Amino acid sequence: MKNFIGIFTLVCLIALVSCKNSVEKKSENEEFKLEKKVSIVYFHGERRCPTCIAVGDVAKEVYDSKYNKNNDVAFYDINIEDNYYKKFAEKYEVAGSVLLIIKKSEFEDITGFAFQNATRNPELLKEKIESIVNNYIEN
Amino acid sequence: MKKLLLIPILLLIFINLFSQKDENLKVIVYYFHATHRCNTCMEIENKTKLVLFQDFKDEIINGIIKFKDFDYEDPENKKIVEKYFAYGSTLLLVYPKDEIKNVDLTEMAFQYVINKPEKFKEILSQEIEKLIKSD
Repeated sequence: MKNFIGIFTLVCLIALVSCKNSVEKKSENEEFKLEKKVSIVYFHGERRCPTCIAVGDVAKEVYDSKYNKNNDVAFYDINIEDNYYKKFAEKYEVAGSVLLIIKKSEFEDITGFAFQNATRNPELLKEKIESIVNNYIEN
Repeated sequence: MKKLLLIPILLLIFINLFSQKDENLKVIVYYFHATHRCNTCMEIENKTKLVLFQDFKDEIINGIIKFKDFDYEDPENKKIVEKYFAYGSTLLLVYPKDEIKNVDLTEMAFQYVINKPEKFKEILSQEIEKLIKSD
C-alpha cells in the first residue's frame, strides 16, 4: 500500500512538472498581439519609479472610467522584461518606460508628455489620452 | 560600457566639488528623482552628466555651470521640490539671474533618452548653450 502511494505521488509530481514546463515553453514561443482597434499600452521595466507608476495609473484610470465597456479599446500594462512581450516591445523599439496609443500600424508616443504631467497635472494627461483615443476611434 | 560612463561622471563630481564659486554661475542643471529609480530615470542622469562632461567641461571648471541632483522624496529637499514643483522625475535648467528663463526638459528627456539618446544630448547641449549666451 505504501509503495502504491509513493508511486502515485511520484507520477503526480512528474505530471505537474511537465505540465508547468509546457506552459513556460508556450509563453516563450507565443507572440503577444493587440486585439482591439485602439490600444493604450503602458510599457515599463521591473523597477519603476513613482512617476512611472503614476503614468501607468493615470492611463489605466482613463481606460477604466471611459473605455472599459468600449469593445474597440483595450489597455495593456506590459513588463518589457517579460519574455512573452519581448518581440512586441522590440517592434516599437521600447527599452524603458513608455506610453503609446496604438491603432493598427499607426501610433502616438506620449511618453514625454506623460512623465511631464502624470504627477504634476494628471488631468492634463487624462485629456491628452482621451483626445488621441477618441480621434483614433472615430477615424 | 558602464565603466566607461563612470569615468566622466566621477570627473564631473570632482570638477563640481572644486570648481570656482558662484560669481560666474549662469546655469544650474537640476535633476530631481525618486529614491527608487527606473532605468529611464537613471539614464537621464547619466546622459546629462555625459553631455556636461563632453560639451561643457570648461564651463564647469570655471563655475559657469553647476549640476545638482535631488531625491524629491527626501524631506530635506522639500523646499526646493516645492519651489520648482518637482513632484516627479524632473530635468530642469535654472537661470539664477532671471528664473523666468528656466527651461523644463523633463518631457524631452523621457521622450528621447532611451530611444534617441543622440537627440537628447543634442537638445540638452543646445538649451544649455542658449541659456549661457542669453545675457
